[in-house]
Amino acid sequence: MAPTPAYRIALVIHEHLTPQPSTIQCQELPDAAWSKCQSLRRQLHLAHSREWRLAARRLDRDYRSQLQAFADQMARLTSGLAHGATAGIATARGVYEDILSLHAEFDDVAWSKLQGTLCVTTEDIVLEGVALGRFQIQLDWRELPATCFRVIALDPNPAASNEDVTHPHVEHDSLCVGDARLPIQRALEQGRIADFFQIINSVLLTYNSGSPYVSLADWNGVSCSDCGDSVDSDGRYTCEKCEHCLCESCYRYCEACSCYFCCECVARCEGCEEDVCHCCQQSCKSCRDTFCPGCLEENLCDNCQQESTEAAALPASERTAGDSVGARATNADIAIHADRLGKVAVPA
Amino acid sequence: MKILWINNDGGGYANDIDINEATTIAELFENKIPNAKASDYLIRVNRQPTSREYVLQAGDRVSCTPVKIEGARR
Repeated sequence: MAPTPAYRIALVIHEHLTPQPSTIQCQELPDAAWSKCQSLRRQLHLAHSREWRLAARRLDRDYRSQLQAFADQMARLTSGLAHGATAGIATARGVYEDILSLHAEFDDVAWSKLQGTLCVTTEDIVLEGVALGRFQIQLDWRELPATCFRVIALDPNPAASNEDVTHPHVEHDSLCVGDARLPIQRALEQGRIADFFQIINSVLLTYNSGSPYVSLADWNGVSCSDCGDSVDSDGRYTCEKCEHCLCESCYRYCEACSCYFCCECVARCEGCEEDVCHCCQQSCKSCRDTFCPGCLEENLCDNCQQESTEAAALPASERTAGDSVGARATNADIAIHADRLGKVAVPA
Repeated sequence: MKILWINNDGGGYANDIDINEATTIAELFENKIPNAKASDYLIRVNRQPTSREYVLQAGDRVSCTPVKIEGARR
């Protein structure tokens, strides 16, 4: 009897799972990933040194992601060397039975030999009242045993602030697997295809409010508390004091503490005219105006300091002469006063 | 007797283990994942849904996958 299409796919997948000793020895080092890490690190350093904050945030994210990719490639390389045998890897029949079992677990199961993909479709996913629709989990078996899959929203209801986020943990069709990283890796290394799809499905059915791309509370959009405009997740700032959400046009930056604030939580420095938060602002002890710490020296602003210096620089004779004039004027005033002026007769 | 025990929780692993004759799925679960609720897991025997009372047979393949697994942001 001719093998069924599912069995043929199982054979192909099994072939990808089984490492050949020669291929293990010839595996290339992840030079490209490392070069990318180095390049991103240089760009990140540049962005920091020039205070390009938005660019720095994006580069920081890319840098971390690229480092993780490099670490994963190294881990696969060393794992391949350590476990170059087929021990623990499912047989072709095991893979076939896994593929058959998927029909009982998921609404739709499909594969493409041309694209090298095996796909299942989840049920409608609703998390905390937000309908996210169905997702197709697409495993690329050509990359096996490496973890390579996409999660595609079939009825997308993306976050208002970022249309690439179709699920709190999916961005650009890529699922951030969090706690599932190791179980997924092990399942794919061992050819447990059905387990792989079940684990991904469990992640999609779970909301981790501690680390979403966009929180479900903000799924339908967040507005800037100052101007009321919708705020994009990349251009969102939070006031350090009152925790209000702010857009790129409305946030205020306090140089003294390097934090972001809303307009209500900062004052204008009378010296440099930059924003300074309520915690960092100081008053000149002479004029009592508000200043940032950088514009005060010994608790005096520039103007008051200058006045103080000028007063101190006056010659002693001028200061004394001034005093004498004052004294003379007082005597003169006394001299022209009428007799008994300001005095009151006291009855006997 | 030996069965294959696959736990997709935590690190995720698959091991051949020895169990007593007439062990049920409920007993195996309590033994392997104590203090957890069986309803929080998808338990499959030979890739099929099963009941708590199912008596395990030599060579069975038992897999256990949490219903909820937390994803992340990066």
